[in-house]
Amino acid sequence: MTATLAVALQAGVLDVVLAPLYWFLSLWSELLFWVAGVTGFELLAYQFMHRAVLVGLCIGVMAPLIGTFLVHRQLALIGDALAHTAFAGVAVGLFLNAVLDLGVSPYLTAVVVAMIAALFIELISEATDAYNDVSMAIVLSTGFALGTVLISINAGGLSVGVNQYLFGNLSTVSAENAVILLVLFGVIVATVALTRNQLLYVTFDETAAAVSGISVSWYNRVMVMLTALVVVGAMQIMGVILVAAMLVVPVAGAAQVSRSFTESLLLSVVLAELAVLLGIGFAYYGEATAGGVIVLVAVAIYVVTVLVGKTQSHMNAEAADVGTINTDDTDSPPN
Amino acid sequence: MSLTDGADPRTTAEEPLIELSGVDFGYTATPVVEDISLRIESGEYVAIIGPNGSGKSTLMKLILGLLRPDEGLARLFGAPAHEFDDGSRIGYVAQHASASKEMPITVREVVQMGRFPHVGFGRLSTRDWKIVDRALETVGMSAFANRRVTQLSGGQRQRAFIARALAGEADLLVLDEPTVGVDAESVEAFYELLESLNETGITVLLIEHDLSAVTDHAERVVCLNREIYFDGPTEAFVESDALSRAFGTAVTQRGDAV
Repeated sequence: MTATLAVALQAGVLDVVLAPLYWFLSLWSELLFWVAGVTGFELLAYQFMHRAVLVGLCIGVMAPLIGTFLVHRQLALIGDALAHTAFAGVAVGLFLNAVLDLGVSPYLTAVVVAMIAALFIELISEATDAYNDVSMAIVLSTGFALGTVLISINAGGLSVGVNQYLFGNLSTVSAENAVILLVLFGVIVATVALTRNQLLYVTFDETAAAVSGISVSWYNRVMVMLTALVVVGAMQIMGVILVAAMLVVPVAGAAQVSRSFTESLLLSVVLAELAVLLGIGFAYYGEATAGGVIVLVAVAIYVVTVLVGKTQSHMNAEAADVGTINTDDTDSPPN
Repeated sequence: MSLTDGADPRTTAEEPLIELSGVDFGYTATPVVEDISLRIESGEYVAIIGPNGSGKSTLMKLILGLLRPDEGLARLFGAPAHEFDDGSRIGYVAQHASASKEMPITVREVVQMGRFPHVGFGRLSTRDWKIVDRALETVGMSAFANRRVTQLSGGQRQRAFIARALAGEADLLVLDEPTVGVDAESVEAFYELLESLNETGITVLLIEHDLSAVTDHAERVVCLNREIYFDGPTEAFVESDALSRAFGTAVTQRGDAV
């Protein structure tokens, strides 16, 4: 299966289809060279940084986009579980490359394995009628265990390259991987744009959505598949271990200060972009791992939004005494 | 049933909105509801009442087609309930606990969801937004349209959910213990709203465990505890001993279980 898929992916047809994306990539690179020339930003003088920034910008859009629908259903941890199975996918790819000499990008195998795991989690939850911690934990550890075993079997050469997948790396974003990410980005944004009504309804009120004729289980499957795609896409820079943070932290921050759903969605993207760009900058000049720095910046932004949100509701409480009874706003448990 | 004539099925008079005949259902071997037969006609105001654990919510799910009966038939608007997919005809209001409580979303955005069955993958048109605004007006929530739902009182929140059902232009309004956690004054206003909606021709199906709410407002009472103990006009229900029998059984059953 994977072999035929890999062969197909190497085939010329795909090259033609993807050609515009490579063209876009070089255009983007020229643009950033120009920006570097004008502003004198040293980090933009390298082509690999151009790709890293592009990937970062895409992550900043798609992670909170999907994360918004997950966080408000208390499914924040599903991203973490899928990231660990994506690691198994990476290991499968590395393994196949080493044994069969396929030359397929490990991110492609990661996409396949993570999607299968996503569907598996969803089907378990449909059968048991609940997303349960235990099955999620089992999927998570199985994925990670499978990954480490496959890699250790092939030890030596392989273990050297593993850090890049675990912790992410700015400098290893190849043109091929950047194109893979652009494709994932397109699929994710297009799917959410098309099904936003249904996803919103299912997220907010599952039973009412079902009554209104929306196939809840179908959209849940779409959601976990998209999550798998985001996780693999964001893994290049964020790494397996920290990738879930981008699904959760900007969304949690945006929820503190927004009133409407649309506002929170847009704001979470803005906050994520801020974290990504500042994080890449700090990481470059501080010579630190980008994934970690991005998450720390995101958390710092979150803390600020909590403070802003508290001040806001404090001011609102004083201003809004027009016959409203604010009962269950302040004392609801932080779940 | 109405296949032979070309009339709009929405106006066909003889066809009941809801029809259950001989319905049994159990999650495990023990049935939760047993031998339920029930007909609800268009325009009625029916309350289903019963003690906790009497199968009220299960019955509601069977009626809405969210569950399929083990035995018997459940029909909704003349179609098998589980196959019925014109979601725009039903408005559903749950105990507020079932909706996401922390999510940032405004009242208007919630009411807008009522239009989703009509627009599918598309955007809401100006006409859709007008319907949304009218629904907000009907329930008296226009002033709160841009409030975050989490900042509303329980009564206001339930009004927003009713508005969502109205925006969907539903023929049937199903409410599952809608006044749990709502303060006393708002409860009264809430039932007045339901009554006025019923007068405009909307069928109301209310699932309740609060007895006074039911006897004050509903025209017809269905008293349930696994099976139907009473089904008839509210006045007759008040005079009958159905309630004590239904609730009494529940007590002994619970005693047996322990």
